[in-house]
Amino acid sequence: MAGFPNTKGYFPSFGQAIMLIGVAVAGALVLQQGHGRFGSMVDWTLAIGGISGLALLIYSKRFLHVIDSPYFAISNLLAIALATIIGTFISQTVPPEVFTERYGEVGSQILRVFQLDDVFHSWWYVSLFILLLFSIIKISWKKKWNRWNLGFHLAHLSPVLILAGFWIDHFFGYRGIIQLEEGQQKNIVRLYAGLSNYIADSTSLDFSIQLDDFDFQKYDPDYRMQIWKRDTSTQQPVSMTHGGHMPAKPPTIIASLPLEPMKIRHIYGTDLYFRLKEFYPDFSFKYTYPLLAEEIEPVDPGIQIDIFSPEGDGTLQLLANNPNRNKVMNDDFFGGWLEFYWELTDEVKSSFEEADSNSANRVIFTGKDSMAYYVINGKVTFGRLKVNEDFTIPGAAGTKLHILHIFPDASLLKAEPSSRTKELKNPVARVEIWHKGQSAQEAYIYPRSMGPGGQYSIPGSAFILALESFKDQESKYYKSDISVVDRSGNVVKQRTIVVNEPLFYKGHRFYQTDYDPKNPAYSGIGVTHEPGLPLIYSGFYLLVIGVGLMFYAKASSRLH
Amino acid sequence: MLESFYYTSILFKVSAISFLATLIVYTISLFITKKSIAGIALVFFIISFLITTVLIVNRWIDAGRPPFKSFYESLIFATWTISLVSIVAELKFKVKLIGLLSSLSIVGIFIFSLTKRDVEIIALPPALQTWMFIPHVISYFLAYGALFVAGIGAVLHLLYPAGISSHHALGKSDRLDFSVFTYQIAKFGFLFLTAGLLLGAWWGQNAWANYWGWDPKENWAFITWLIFAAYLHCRNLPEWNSKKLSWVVIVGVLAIIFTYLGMDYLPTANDSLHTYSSD
Repeated sequence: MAGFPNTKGYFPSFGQAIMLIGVAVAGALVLQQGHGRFGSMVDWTLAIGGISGLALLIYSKRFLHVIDSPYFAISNLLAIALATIIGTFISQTVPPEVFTERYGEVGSQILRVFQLDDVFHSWWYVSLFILLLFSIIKISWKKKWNRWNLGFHLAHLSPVLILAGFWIDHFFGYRGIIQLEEGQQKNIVRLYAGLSNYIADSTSLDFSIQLDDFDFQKYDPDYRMQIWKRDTSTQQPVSMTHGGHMPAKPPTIIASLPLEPMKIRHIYGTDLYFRLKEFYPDFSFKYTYPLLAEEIEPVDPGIQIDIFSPEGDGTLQLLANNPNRNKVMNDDFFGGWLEFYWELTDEVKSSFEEADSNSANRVIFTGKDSMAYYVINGKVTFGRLKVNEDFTIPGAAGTKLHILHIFPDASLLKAEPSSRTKELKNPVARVEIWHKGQSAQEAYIYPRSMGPGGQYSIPGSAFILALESFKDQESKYYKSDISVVDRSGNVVKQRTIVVNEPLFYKGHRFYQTDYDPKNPAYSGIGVTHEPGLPLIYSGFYLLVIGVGLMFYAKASSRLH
Repeated sequence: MLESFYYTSILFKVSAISFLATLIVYTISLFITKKSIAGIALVFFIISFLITTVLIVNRWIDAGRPPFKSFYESLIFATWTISLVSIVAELKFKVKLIGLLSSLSIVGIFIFSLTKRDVEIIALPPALQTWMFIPHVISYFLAYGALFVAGIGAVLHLLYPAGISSHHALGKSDRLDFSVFTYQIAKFGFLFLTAGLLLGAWWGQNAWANYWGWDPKENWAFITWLIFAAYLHCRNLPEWNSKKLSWVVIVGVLAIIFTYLGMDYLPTANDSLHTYSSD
């Protein structure tokens, strides 16, 4: 396409622009292939030949006048765009065997000839940016330097800064990682290959990084009432040949509602309603007993004890007349038997009075006279039991026991749902569900993490009510307390680093980049040495200012 | 779809219905060419915009973080920037066809967002817990909103190369050349596209120790920028008419849509190195 003549009487065109780009790309491709195959002798010949060829081409008048034309600008920008598109459709910097597997023997060979397995580091891709540099420097050179054109110059010259910074980083900088466990100190940085995430090499710093502490935190749980829906369409047997059934799709969550007690919710497409009656963060049954316990015959006597141990909290209930439930072996905090009898019979009494240091440890509670006998290492001690008071077993001081009830008849115990504490230890939702105009049913719903069976599948419908929190599956932060230690062992800098807040020391930046869910002591400290970064940031800043000035500074209308 | 709509918040429902009402009034104003009807349409548009503002602010408070994390949230934010740019453009250029096509697109986005609805409010991963996230996303969505509206202008220019006048314009009776409109809006969009790209690189350096990782999303953001940069240079080609320029803008808008929606379809998506980003 022949364009209009420029001031010197040349006719720049897309044809010339594309030809120039084509020559540069082909030259760079040959150069890089030659470099790869024949080594340095041929390298130099090719390099000198290629560069002088390109220089000649650029200097030849015709091309000199195309390189600052809009034809070239457009062709060059779109050539870079096209090359980048190719790089997003073909796998880049993957291991060679993966690449061959994806594109076949022949296919991957062809792609490799054109450096399409690593477009962004190929010389031909870089050559497009070198042409861009020539182009923007020349157009800026040609354009009059005055304040009206300031935006134009900033917008066109700032990419020079960005590219310069980029290449400085490429040749003189590096990106790597120091892998540390708490207490460790290292100065070896494992380096990434190019801009990939593959470790290729290593270098050492003239100071060390010490990991003082690593902390990893997940979000707090945030329980919500959820409506799940089963996919009823996949319940049919599908596969004929295997005689099997299609595995049923897991139910999908269709609504996740905040815990708002007594708010009536409707399930879409049904006549079903439900409401949360109460949410118990730490559910347990609270037992009440008729006040005049003394006057009741000991028909089915028992004891209830709350146990707060470092291994966890729980409620223990022992029933004297039930041979399976009148004693339990406790290994968690005590290492012996916990037993309950209404009265201390001679038989029991003699059994522990004969105990020696080899006998099992025992705690024997009695109901009628409210006593506790401790048989520890053959030694017997005893104490009074008081309802609603804390006590500890000798030798198990870390565990607190609390008598809830001593009762003569278990059938008179009344259980009421309640929350033991306000902490989210055992969340349970008590829910009422009803069909419109009918009486309600009650259900207790708890999260899957607390055990199976906590969801409520509404009979005769595809819907399930659930109580779940997803938030606590996400990581909230990871942070490392690190120290910079110099050669003589002095700590010269100390800081807590988190994602987005690196530490800067002597031209290096240290980032919180990696953690290992299986190893809570490990922290991966990303390390960069990027001397070009100030140039890049200045380029960014000036590019935005330049584009803004070009478009919106009043005088810029003179340009158009 | 209706089931999803049923479980959305009241604010979402009101926003969606308000935009639908806006679209209906704009459509009516095509046939009843009274100035007052067109004025009502614009008022509806502004009200819908304000309600969506409340929806976004409410979500911000509810989630305790900027509501730009999930795809669903970003779609709602896109409707906000598209309406903002359209309303300003309509006031500046006095043309209601933009309002019609924008509100049509917004209603479409609202319907699409129902299929991507977040049941759960997603928590922010560490990389996103920074204020740097906010100017980056806002710049990008202002750019996307503006360039989308510029794309509408480009389509209108292809449909009405001679511009339009009379009842399609509000107030003034002079002709509106859509290629001028497109350029003005695209300029604004390109400025924010540039800012968004560079803010993203700067943030990436802080979060991932890497200002440019040749990640598919980054690459496509760069491709989009190159196409609009090419468009600006195409305006200096003396022999290129405004119709050709409109096509370049349309290609650019398609690239934006692909950058925004299409990353999952790329074969390289799995090689994405954004270890704790789930775009």
